[in-house]
Amino acid sequence: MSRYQNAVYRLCLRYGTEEAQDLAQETFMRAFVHRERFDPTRPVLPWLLTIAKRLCIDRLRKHKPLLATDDRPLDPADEHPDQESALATREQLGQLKQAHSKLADGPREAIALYHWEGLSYDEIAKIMEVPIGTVMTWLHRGRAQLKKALSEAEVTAVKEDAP
Amino acid sequence: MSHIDDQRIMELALGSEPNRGEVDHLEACALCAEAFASEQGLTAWLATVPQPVAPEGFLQRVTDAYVTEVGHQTYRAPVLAFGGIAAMLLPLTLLALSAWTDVLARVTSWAVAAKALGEVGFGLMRAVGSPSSIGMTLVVTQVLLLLGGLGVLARLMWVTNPASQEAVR
Repeated sequence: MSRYQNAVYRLCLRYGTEEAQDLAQETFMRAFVHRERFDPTRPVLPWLLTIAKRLCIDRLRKHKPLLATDDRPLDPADEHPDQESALATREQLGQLKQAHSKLADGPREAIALYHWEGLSYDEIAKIMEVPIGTVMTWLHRGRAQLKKALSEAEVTAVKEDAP
Repeated sequence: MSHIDDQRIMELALGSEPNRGEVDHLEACALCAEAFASEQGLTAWLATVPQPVAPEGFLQRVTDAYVTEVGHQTYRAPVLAFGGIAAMLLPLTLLALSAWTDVLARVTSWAVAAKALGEVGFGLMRAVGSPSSIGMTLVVTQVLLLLGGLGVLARLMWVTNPASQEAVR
């Protein structure tokens, strides 16, 4: 369980920051209660994430829309001893994360599951309950939007720096 | 010279193996090479985004919930199944006792029996949810009681309905 807790927690966080912990816990409980439905020949993480996603969507339907942003501070400074470059990196990563949180559900999840959870197109398609082609389109669309957001942020930064 | 489409460039940046034509094209076409480099750059950026982790104590919290759930599971199914059987037997007895008395008692019995059938269905559902030898035995018992109950109800309805008896005659 410890191996999967972060991925499950992160998915719940992307759907709703306030109840992420409760939803993640509920995910593991559901998995435990319905453990006989799990096919041991398949990987565990996609199964857990499917449960988590369904729980999150159920919760969203029942309650008011939850925030999908994660505004917690980033701290890449540890990896960048040079303070100025660390600050720039921090800013850009912040912009990237903010842009990511503003994406529509499909592209946002496709990017997170592919890049951050290391899942394949096929696994993402199963979790999101869509065809693989849709996952690829979401990934492509989401990445295009992220690139656009990043380049816009760069232009703004250059304008602000100009005398 | 036709360019490589955006989606394919993304796939190449994500590690898809390029064919000979694509390799040649990427070497020859500055536009596609730039798009490819941009996709690779974004991939690298995405890889560096720090990810939140589950809060400290989360594992313990889930473990505690597990322990509680395991405790519940050991008695929940049998309790529900036995409860279902008891709920079925009681109205059946009432039904048998009141079958040839007054109409009010029969109507009451039908209502209780209908409720009991619902209870049995619920108990059955839960017992099936966690099958075990005892669970399966209880399931079979409940099914038999259910069928018996339905038979008694049907018989009673026929007995108390003069029109149906008339029709048979």
